[in-house]
Amino acid sequence: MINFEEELKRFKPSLEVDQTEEAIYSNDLKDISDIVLQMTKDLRGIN
Amino acid sequence: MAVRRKTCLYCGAPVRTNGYCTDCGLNQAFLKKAYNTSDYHYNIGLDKARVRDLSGAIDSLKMSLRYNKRNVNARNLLGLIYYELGETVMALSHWVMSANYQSKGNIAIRYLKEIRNDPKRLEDANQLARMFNQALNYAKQRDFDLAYIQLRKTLSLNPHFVNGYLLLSLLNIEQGRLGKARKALTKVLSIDRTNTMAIHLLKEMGETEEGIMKLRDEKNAEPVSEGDYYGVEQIAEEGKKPARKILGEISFKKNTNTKINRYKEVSMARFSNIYMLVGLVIGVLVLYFLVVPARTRALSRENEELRASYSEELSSKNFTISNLNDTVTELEGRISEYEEQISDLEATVSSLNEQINSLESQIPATPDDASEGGANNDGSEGNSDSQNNDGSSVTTVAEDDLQNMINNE
Repeated sequence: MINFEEELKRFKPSLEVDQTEEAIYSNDLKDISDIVLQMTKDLRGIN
Repeated sequence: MAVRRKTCLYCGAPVRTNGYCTDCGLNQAFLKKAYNTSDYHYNIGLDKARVRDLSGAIDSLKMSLRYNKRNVNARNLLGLIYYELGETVMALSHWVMSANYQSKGNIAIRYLKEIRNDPKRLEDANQLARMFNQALNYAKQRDFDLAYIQLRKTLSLNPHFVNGYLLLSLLNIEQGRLGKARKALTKVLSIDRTNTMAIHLLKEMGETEEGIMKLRDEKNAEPVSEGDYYGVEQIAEEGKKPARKILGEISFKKNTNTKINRYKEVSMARFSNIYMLVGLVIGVLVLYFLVVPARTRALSRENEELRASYSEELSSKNFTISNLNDTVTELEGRISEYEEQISDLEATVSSLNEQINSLESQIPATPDDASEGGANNDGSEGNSDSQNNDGSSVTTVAEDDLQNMINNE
Protein backbone atom coordinates (compact mmCIF):
# COMPACT_ATOMS: atom_id res chain seq x y z
CA MET A 1 0.00 0.00 0.00
CA ILE A 2 1.37 3.41 -0.95
CA ASN A 3 1.76 5.81 1.92
CA PHE A 4 1.31 9.23 0.39
CA GLU A 5 3.16 11.12 3.09
CA GLU A 6 6.10 8.74 3.08
CA GLU A 7 6.39 8.84 -0.71
CA LEU A 8 6.08 12.60 -0.68
CA LYS A 9 9.08 12.85 1.63
CA ARG A 10 11.25 11.35 -1.08
CA PHE A 11 10.67 14.41 -3.24
CA LYS A 12 13.28 17.08 -2.81
CA PRO A 13 12.68 20.68 -3.91
CA SER A 14 14.12 21.65 -7.27
CA LEU A 15 16.97 24.12 -7.23
CA GLU A 16 16.44 27.56 -8.68
CA VAL A 17 19.02 29.30 -10.83
CA ASP A 18 20.18 31.65 -8.09
CA GLN A 19 20.96 28.61 -5.98
CA THR A 20 23.56 27.37 -8.49
CA GLU A 21 26.48 28.91 -6.63
CA GLU A 22 25.36 27.35 -3.39
CA ALA A 23 24.94 24.01 -5.13
CA ILE A 24 28.49 24.16 -6.50
CA TYR A 25 30.03 25.00 -3.15
CA SER A 26 28.02 22.44 -1.28
CA ASN A 27 28.92 19.71 -3.73
CA ASP A 28 31.11 17.06 -2.16
CA LEU A 29 34.24 17.44 -4.22
CA LYS A 30 36.22 14.83 -2.41
CA ASP A 31 37.22 11.76 -4.30
CA ILE A 32 39.12 8.71 -3.08
CA SER A 33 42.45 10.40 -3.60
CA ASP A 34 41.48 13.22 -1.26
CA ILE A 35 40.31 10.72 1.32
CA VAL A 36 43.56 8.75 1.15
CA LEU A 37 45.54 11.97 1.34
CA GLN A 38 43.61 13.01 4.39
CA MET A 39 44.21 9.64 5.96
CA THR A 40 47.90 9.90 5.21
CA LYS A 41 48.10 13.34 6.79
CA ASP A 42 46.21 12.14 9.82
CA LEU A 43 48.61 9.22 10.18
CA ARG A 44 51.59 11.48 9.85
CA GLY A 45 50.08 13.77 12.39
CA ILE A 46 49.60 10.95 14.82
CA ASN A 47 53.09 9.73 14.26
CA MET B 1 58.59 -3.21 -17.67
CA ALA B 2 56.25 -0.45 -16.42
CA VAL B 3 57.04 3.11 -17.38
CA ARG B 4 57.55 5.27 -14.35
CA ARG B 5 55.67 8.56 -14.37
CA LYS B 6 57.76 11.61 -13.83
CA THR B 7 54.95 13.84 -12.58
CA CYS B 8 52.23 13.08 -10.06
CA LEU B 9 48.78 12.30 -11.41
CA TYR B 10 47.16 14.15 -8.52
CA CYS B 11 49.21 17.32 -8.00
CA GLY B 12 51.69 17.38 -10.87
CA ALA B 13 54.72 17.43 -8.62
CA PRO B 14 57.78 15.28 -9.39
CA VAL B 15 57.57 11.63 -8.48
CA ARG B 16 60.23 9.67 -6.70
CA THR B 17 61.64 6.45 -8.10
CA ASN B 18 59.65 4.45 -5.60
CA GLY B 19 56.53 5.84 -7.16
CA TYR B 20 55.49 8.22 -4.45
CA CYS B 21 54.89 11.90 -5.07
CA THR B 22 57.36 14.29 -3.56
CA ASP B 23 54.58 16.76 -2.65
CA CYS B 24 51.35 14.97 -1.80
CA GLY B 25 52.96 11.66 -1.04
CA LEU B 26 50.42 9.62 -2.92
CA ASN B 27 51.40 6.39 -4.60
CA GLN B 28 51.10 6.70 -8.35
CA ALA B 29 50.01 3.08 -8.78
CA PHE B 30 47.16 3.73 -6.39
CA LEU B 31 46.15 6.85 -8.29
CA LYS B 32 46.29 4.99 -11.57
CA LYS B 33 44.02 2.30 -10.22
CA ALA B 34 41.59 4.90 -8.93
CA TYR B 35 41.48 6.68 -12.23
CA ASN B 36 40.98 3.44 -14.12
CA THR B 37 38.09 2.52 -11.88
CA SER B 38 36.66 5.94 -12.49
CA ASP B 39 36.84 5.40 -16.24
CA TYR B 40 35.30 1.95 -15.84
CA HIS B 41 32.30 3.36 -14.07
CA TYR B 42 32.11 6.17 -16.58
CA ASN B 43 31.88 3.64 -19.41
CA ILE B 44 29.12 1.81 -17.64
CA GLY B 45 27.31 5.10 -17.11
CA LEU B 46 27.70 5.96 -20.78
CA ASP B 47 26.24 2.62 -21.86
CA LYS B 48 23.32 3.05 -19.53
CA ALA B 49 22.69 6.59 -20.75
CA ARG B 50 22.63 5.34 -24.33
CA VAL B 51 19.78 2.94 -23.53
CA ARG B 52 17.97 5.56 -21.49
CA ASP B 53 18.69 3.98 -18.18
CA LEU B 54 19.24 7.44 -16.77
CA SER B 55 18.89 6.57 -13.09
CA GLY B 56 21.48 3.80 -13.51
CA ALA B 57 23.72 6.13 -15.48
CA ILE B 58 23.56 8.74 -12.71
CA ASP B 59 24.61 6.17 -10.11
CA SER B 60 27.48 4.94 -12.25
CA LEU B 61 28.71 8.42 -13.03
CA LYS B 62 28.56 9.46 -9.40
CA MET B 63 30.64 6.41 -8.58
CA SER B 64 33.08 7.38 -11.32
CA LEU B 65 33.46 10.82 -9.79
CA ARG B 66 34.11 9.33 -6.39
CA TYR B 67 37.19 7.68 -7.79
CA ASN B 68 38.26 10.73 -9.78
CA LYS B 69 36.58 14.05 -9.25
CA ARG B 70 38.50 15.45 -12.17
CA ASN B 71 36.94 13.05 -14.68
CA VAL B 72 35.46 15.77 -16.86
CA ASN B 73 33.83 13.27 -19.21
CA ALA B 74 31.87 11.73 -16.37
CA ARG B 75 30.95 15.16 -15.02
CA ASN B 76 29.83 16.41 -18.40
CA LEU B 77 27.69 13.35 -19.01
CA LEU B 78 26.19 13.63 -15.56
CA GLY B 79 25.28 17.25 -16.25
CA LEU B 80 23.73 16.23 -19.53
CA ILE B 81 21.60 13.59 -17.85
CA TYR B 82 20.41 16.04 -15.22
CA TYR B 83 19.53 18.48 -18.01
CA GLU B 84 17.54 15.78 -19.76
CA LEU B 85 15.62 15.08 -16.55
CA GLY B 86 14.75 18.76 -16.18
CA GLU B 87 17.19 19.54 -13.36
CA THR B 88 18.88 22.45 -15.08
CA VAL B 89 20.61 23.87 -12.02
CA MET B 90 22.24 20.53 -11.20
CA ALA B 91 23.39 20.31 -14.80
CA LEU B 92 24.83 23.81 -14.67
CA SER B 93 26.71 23.14 -11.44
CA HIS B 94 28.42 20.05 -12.88
CA TRP B 95 29.32 21.80 -16.10
CA VAL B 96 30.78 24.74 -14.21
CA MET B 97 32.94 22.41 -12.10
CA SER B 98 34.01 20.55 -15.22
CA ALA B 99 35.00 23.81 -16.92
CA ASN B 100 36.94 24.73 -13.82
CA TYR B 101 38.99 21.53 -13.95
CA GLN B 102 39.59 21.72 -17.68
CA SER B 103 39.13 24.99 -19.51
CA LYS B 104 40.35 23.88 -22.92
CA GLY B 105 38.79 21.31 -25.20
CA ASN B 106 35.88 20.83 -22.83
CA ILE B 107 32.38 20.38 -24.19
CA ALA B 108 30.93 21.72 -20.95
CA ILE B 109 32.02 25.19 -22.03
CA ARG B 110 29.92 24.85 -25.17
CA TYR B 111 26.89 23.80 -23.10
CA LEU B 112 27.35 26.74 -20.77
CA LYS B 113 27.67 29.16 -23.68
CA GLU B 114 24.47 27.86 -25.24
CA ILE B 115 22.54 28.35 -22.05
CA ARG B 116 24.05 31.77 -21.43
CA ASN B 117 23.10 32.90 -24.95
CA ASP B 118 19.48 31.94 -24.37
CA PRO B 119 18.30 33.79 -21.25
CA LYS B 120 14.77 32.53 -21.77
CA ARG B 121 15.92 29.01 -21.10
CA LEU B 122 17.36 30.02 -17.76
CA GLU B 123 14.21 31.92 -16.92
CA ASP B 124 12.13 28.87 -17.85
CA ALA B 125 14.30 26.66 -15.68
CA ASN B 126 13.89 29.06 -12.79
CA GLN B 127 10.15 29.22 -13.24
CA LEU B 128 9.95 25.45 -13.52
CA ALA B 129 11.77 24.97 -10.24
CA ARG B 130 9.57 27.54 -8.51
CA MET B 131 6.35 26.02 -9.80
CA PHE B 132 7.41 22.50 -8.87
CA ASN B 133 8.34 23.58 -5.36
CA GLN B 134 4.99 25.33 -5.08
CA ALA B 135 3.22 22.18 -6.25
CA LEU B 136 5.16 20.17 -3.68
CA ASN B 137 4.02 22.53 -0.94
CA TYR B 138 0.42 22.29 -2.08
CA ALA B 139 0.69 18.50 -2.13
CA LYS B 140 2.00 18.54 1.45
CA GLN B 141 -0.97 20.71 2.42
CA ARG B 142 -3.24 18.31 0.48
CA ASP B 143 -4.40 21.11 -1.85
CA PHE B 144 -4.54 18.74 -4.79
CA ASP B 145 -6.27 21.07 -7.24
CA LEU B 146 -3.69 23.80 -6.79
CA ALA B 147 -0.90 21.25 -7.02
CA TYR B 148 -2.38 20.00 -10.31
CA ILE B 149 -2.45 23.49 -11.74
CA GLN B 150 1.19 24.11 -10.87
CA LEU B 151 2.25 20.72 -12.21
CA ARG B 152 0.37 21.30 -15.45
CA LYS B 153 2.27 24.52 -15.98
CA THR B 154 5.54 22.86 -15.04
CA LEU B 155 5.11 19.98 -17.46
CA SER B 156 4.08 22.24 -20.29
CA LEU B 157 7.27 24.22 -19.69
CA ASN B 158 9.42 21.11 -19.79
CA PRO B 159 7.84 17.85 -20.99
CA HIS B 160 10.86 15.89 -19.74
CA PHE B 161 10.60 16.93 -16.14
CA VAL B 162 10.56 13.52 -14.48
CA ASN B 163 9.97 14.71 -10.94
CA GLY B 164 6.88 16.53 -12.12
CA TYR B 165 5.40 13.37 -13.60
CA LEU B 166 6.29 11.39 -10.50
CA LEU B 167 4.55 13.88 -8.23
CA LEU B 168 1.57 13.96 -10.55
CA SER B 169 1.28 10.18 -10.51
CA LEU B 170 1.50 10.18 -6.72
CA LEU B 171 -1.33 12.69 -6.47
CA ASN B 172 -3.42 10.65 -8.90
CA ILE B 173 -2.79 7.48 -6.89
CA GLU B 174 -3.81 9.27 -3.72
CA GLN B 175 -7.04 10.37 -5.38
CA GLY B 176 -7.73 6.94 -6.83
CA ARG B 177 -7.08 7.91 -10.44
CA LEU B 178 -4.94 4.92 -11.23
CA GLY B 179 -5.32 5.20 -15.01
CA LYS B 180 -3.91 8.70 -15.05
CA ALA B 181 -1.17 7.70 -12.63
CA ARG B 182 -0.18 4.83 -14.87
CA LYS B 183 -0.06 7.17 -17.84
CA ALA B 184 2.24 9.58 -16.05
CA LEU B 185 4.51 6.75 -14.89
CA THR B 186 4.63 5.38 -18.43
CA LYS B 187 5.85 8.78 -19.51
CA VAL B 188 8.54 8.67 -16.83
CA LEU B 189 9.69 5.25 -18.00
CA SER B 190 9.88 6.49 -21.57
CA ILE B 191 12.37 9.13 -20.41
CA ASP B 192 14.14 7.09 -17.74
CA ARG B 193 13.65 3.38 -18.20
CA THR B 194 14.71 2.31 -14.75
CA ASN B 195 13.41 5.17 -12.66
CA THR B 196 13.28 3.66 -9.20
CA MET B 197 10.30 5.59 -7.93
CA ALA B 198 8.25 4.94 -11.05
CA ILE B 199 8.85 1.20 -10.86
CA HIS B 200 8.13 1.22 -7.14
CA LEU B 201 4.81 3.05 -7.63
CA LEU B 202 3.79 0.75 -10.48
CA LYS B 203 4.49 -2.29 -8.34
CA GLU B 204 2.42 -0.81 -5.54
CA MET B 205 -0.39 -0.28 -8.03
CA GLY B 206 -0.27 -3.98 -8.81
CA GLU B 207 1.71 -4.04 -12.01
CA THR B 208 3.78 -7.11 -12.67
CA GLU B 209 7.36 -7.12 -13.87
CA GLU B 210 6.20 -8.09 -17.32
CA GLY B 211 3.66 -5.31 -17.29
CA ILE B 212 6.30 -2.81 -16.28
CA MET B 213 8.61 -4.00 -19.03
CA LYS B 214 5.77 -3.67 -21.52
CA LEU B 215 5.11 -0.13 -20.37
CA ARG B 216 8.77 0.62 -20.64
CA ASP B 217 8.93 -0.71 -24.15
CA GLU B 218 5.79 1.05 -25.27
CA LYS B 219 6.72 2.97 -28.35
CA ASN B 220 3.38 4.68 -28.84
CA ALA B 221 3.25 6.14 -25.37
CA GLU B 222 0.37 8.62 -25.39
CA PRO B 223 1.40 12.06 -24.30
CA VAL B 224 -0.11 13.18 -21.04
CA SER B 225 -2.70 15.68 -22.22
CA GLU B 226 -4.36 18.53 -20.42
CA GLY B 227 -7.58 16.68 -19.85
CA ASP B 228 -5.82 13.95 -17.99
CA TYR B 229 -4.77 16.16 -15.15
CA TYR B 230 -8.21 16.58 -13.77
CA GLY B 231 -11.81 16.36 -14.72
CA VAL B 232 -12.64 13.58 -17.06
CA GLU B 233 -12.05 10.21 -15.50
CA GLN B 234 -12.63 7.38 -17.87
CA ILE B 235 -14.90 4.76 -16.47
CA ALA B 236 -12.88 1.59 -16.23
CA GLU B 237 -13.05 -1.54 -14.24
CA GLU B 238 -10.72 -1.86 -11.34
CA GLY B 239 -7.29 -3.03 -12.40
CA LYS B 240 -7.99 -2.73 -16.13
CA LYS B 241 -6.80 -0.04 -18.43
CA PRO B 242 -9.42 2.30 -19.82
CA ALA B 243 -10.33 1.77 -23.48
CA ARG B 244 -7.88 3.37 -25.84
CA LYS B 245 -8.89 5.68 -28.60
CA ILE B 246 -8.68 4.24 -32.07
CA LEU B 247 -5.89 6.13 -33.74
CA GLY B 248 -4.10 5.67 -36.99
CA GLU B 249 -0.71 4.04 -36.93
CA ILE B 250 1.94 6.39 -35.78
CA SER B 251 5.54 5.52 -36.39
CA PHE B 252 8.15 6.73 -33.96
CA LYS B 253 11.83 6.79 -34.36
CA LYS B 254 13.77 4.92 -31.78
CA ASN B 255 14.29 6.73 -28.50
CA THR B 256 12.31 9.78 -29.44
CA ASN B 257 9.88 11.27 -26.99
CA THR B 258 6.47 12.60 -27.80
CA LYS B 259 6.32 16.33 -27.47
CA ILE B 260 3.71 18.18 -25.57
CA ASN B 261 2.80 21.60 -26.91
CA ARG B 262 4.00 24.48 -24.89
CA TYR B 263 1.51 25.74 -22.38
CA LYS B 264 0.41 29.14 -23.45
CA GLU B 265 -1.77 31.36 -21.45
CA VAL B 266 -4.47 32.36 -23.89
CA SER B 267 -3.60 35.90 -24.47
CA MET B 268 -6.74 38.01 -24.64
CA ALA B 269 -4.67 41.02 -25.44
CA ARG B 270 -4.52 40.32 -29.17
CA PHE B 271 -8.30 40.26 -29.42
CA SER B 272 -8.73 43.41 -27.38
CA ASN B 273 -8.90 45.61 -30.49
CA ILE B 274 -11.63 43.49 -31.99
CA TYR B 275 -13.54 43.46 -28.71
CA MET B 276 -13.29 47.23 -28.58
CA LEU B 277 -14.59 47.67 -32.11
CA VAL B 278 -17.45 45.28 -31.51
CA GLY B 279 -18.31 47.10 -28.31
CA LEU B 280 -18.30 50.44 -30.14
CA VAL B 281 -20.55 49.12 -32.89
CA ILE B 282 -22.98 47.68 -30.35
CA GLY B 283 -22.97 50.97 -28.48
CA VAL B 284 -23.70 52.95 -31.64
CA LEU B 285 -26.52 50.57 -32.58
CA VAL B 286 -28.09 50.80 -29.12
CA LEU B 287 -27.84 54.57 -29.33
CA TYR B 288 -29.41 54.68 -32.75
CA PHE B 289 -32.28 52.32 -32.10
CA LEU B 290 -33.11 52.99 -28.48
CA VAL B 291 -31.87 56.31 -27.23
CA VAL B 292 -32.32 58.58 -30.28
CA PRO B 293 -36.03 57.77 -31.03
CA ALA B 294 -37.03 58.36 -27.42
CA ARG B 295 -35.21 61.65 -27.42
CA THR B 296 -36.77 62.61 -30.74
CA ARG B 297 -40.23 61.80 -29.43
CA ALA B 298 -39.69 63.90 -26.35
CA LEU B 299 -38.42 66.82 -28.40
CA SER B 300 -41.34 66.63 -30.87
CA ARG B 301 -43.76 66.54 -27.92
CA GLU B 302 -42.19 69.68 -26.53
CA ASN B 303 -42.40 71.31 -29.94
CA GLU B 304 -46.07 70.49 -30.23
CA GLU B 305 -46.83 71.96 -26.83
CA LEU B 306 -44.88 75.07 -27.66
CA ARG B 307 -46.64 75.43 -30.95
CA ALA B 308 -50.04 75.04 -29.28
CA SER B 309 -49.25 77.71 -26.74
CA TYR B 310 -47.96 80.08 -29.41
CA SER B 311 -50.99 79.55 -31.63
CA GLU B 312 -53.28 80.18 -28.66
CA GLU B 313 -51.48 83.39 -27.87
CA LEU B 314 -51.56 84.35 -31.52
CA SER B 315 -55.28 83.81 -31.81
CA SER B 316 -55.96 85.88 -28.69
CA LYS B 317 -53.77 88.63 -30.04
CA ASN B 318 -55.56 88.48 -33.37
CA PHE B 319 -58.85 88.76 -31.58
CA THR B 320 -57.66 91.79 -29.72
CA ILE B 321 -56.37 93.32 -32.91
CA SER B 322 -59.66 92.80 -34.69
CA ASN B 323 -61.47 94.36 -31.74
CA LEU B 324 -59.22 97.32 -31.82
CA ASN B 325 -59.65 97.62 -35.54
CA ASP B 326 -63.40 97.72 -35.08
CA THR B 327 -63.00 100.37 -32.45
CA VAL B 328 -60.81 102.35 -34.74
CA THR B 329 -63.31 102.10 -37.53
CA GLU B 330 -66.07 103.16 -35.23
CA LEU B 331 -64.12 106.09 -33.97
CA GLU B 332 -63.18 107.09 -37.48
CA GLY B 333 -66.84 107.01 -38.33
CA ARG B 334 -67.64 109.24 -35.38
CA ILE B 335 -64.85 111.56 -36.33
CA SER B 336 -66.25 111.94 -39.82
CA GLU B 337 -69.68 112.53 -38.37
CA TYR B 338 -68.33 115.16 -36.07
CA GLU B 339 -66.49 116.75 -38.92
CA GLU B 340 -69.68 116.92 -40.86
CA GLN B 341 -71.43 118.43 -37.94
CA ILE B 342 -68.65 120.91 -37.58
CA SER B 343 -68.87 121.87 -41.19
CA ASP B 344 -72.66 122.19 -40.87
CA LEU B 345 -72.26 124.32 -37.83
CA GLU B 346 -69.71 126.45 -39.55
CA ALA B 347 -72.07 126.91 -42.40
CA THR B 348 -74.78 127.87 -39.93
CA VAL B 349 -72.44 130.28 -38.21
CA SER B 350 -71.52 131.89 -41.46
CA SER B 351 -75.14 132.17 -42.44
CA LEU B 352 -75.97 133.63 -39.08
CA ASN B 353 -73.12 136.05 -39.42
CA GLU B 354 -74.49 137.08 -42.72
CA GLN B 355 -77.86 137.53 -41.13
CA ILE B 356 -76.31 139.60 -38.44
CA ASN B 357 -74.56 141.71 -40.95
CA SER B 358 -77.69 142.16 -42.89
CA LEU B 359 -79.62 143.01 -39.78
CA GLU B 360 -77.02 145.44 -38.69
CA SER B 361 -77.19 147.13 -41.99
CA GLN B 362 -80.93 147.48 -41.67
CA ILE B 363 -80.72 149.39 -38.39
CA PRO B 364 -81.94 152.86 -39.21
CA ALA B 365 -79.71 155.73 -38.12
CA THR B 366 -81.08 159.04 -36.26
CA PRO B 367 -80.76 162.31 -38.08
CA ASP B 368 -78.11 163.73 -35.72
CA ASP B 369 -76.55 160.68 -35.54
CA ALA B 370 -77.09 160.19 -39.16
CA SER B 371 -75.20 163.37 -39.98
CA GLU B 372 -72.57 162.76 -37.49
CA GLY B 373 -72.82 159.38 -38.34
CA GLY B 374 -72.27 160.35 -41.87
CA ALA B 375 -69.20 162.27 -40.82
CA ASN B 376 -68.09 159.65 -38.51
CA ASN B 377 -68.92 156.71 -40.61
CA ASP B 378 -65.42 156.64 -41.71
CA GLY B 379 -64.34 155.04 -38.61
CA SER B 380 -65.87 155.77 -35.37
CA GLU B 381 -66.91 153.17 -33.05
CA GLY B 382 -68.54 155.35 -30.52
CA ASN B 383 -71.55 155.89 -32.55
CA SER B 384 -73.33 153.07 -31.03
CA ASP B 385 -73.33 154.67 -27.62
CA SER B 386 -74.80 157.89 -28.92
CA GLN B 387 -77.19 155.85 -30.83
CA ASN B 388 -78.08 153.86 -27.78
CA ASN B 389 -78.60 156.97 -25.72
CA ASP B 390 -81.09 158.20 -28.12
CA GLY B 391 -82.30 154.96 -29.56
CA SER B 392 -85.30 154.22 -27.58
CA SER B 393 -86.96 153.66 -30.78
CA VAL B 394 -84.33 151.30 -32.19
CA THR B 395 -83.93 147.75 -30.74
CA THR B 396 -80.31 146.87 -30.75
CA VAL B 397 -79.06 143.34 -30.41
CA ALA B 398 -76.07 142.82 -28.22
CA GLU B 399 -73.21 140.69 -29.52
CA ASP B 400 -73.46 138.29 -26.60
CA ASP B 401 -77.07 137.62 -27.35
CA LEU B 402 -76.21 137.02 -30.96
CA GLN B 403 -73.55 134.52 -29.98
CA ASN B 404 -75.97 132.72 -27.66
CA MET B 405 -78.47 132.48 -30.46
CA ILE B 406 -75.91 130.95 -32.76
CA ASN B 407 -74.83 128.40 -30.09
CA ASN B 408 -78.44 127.46 -29.47
CA GLU B 409 -78.80 126.89 -33.20
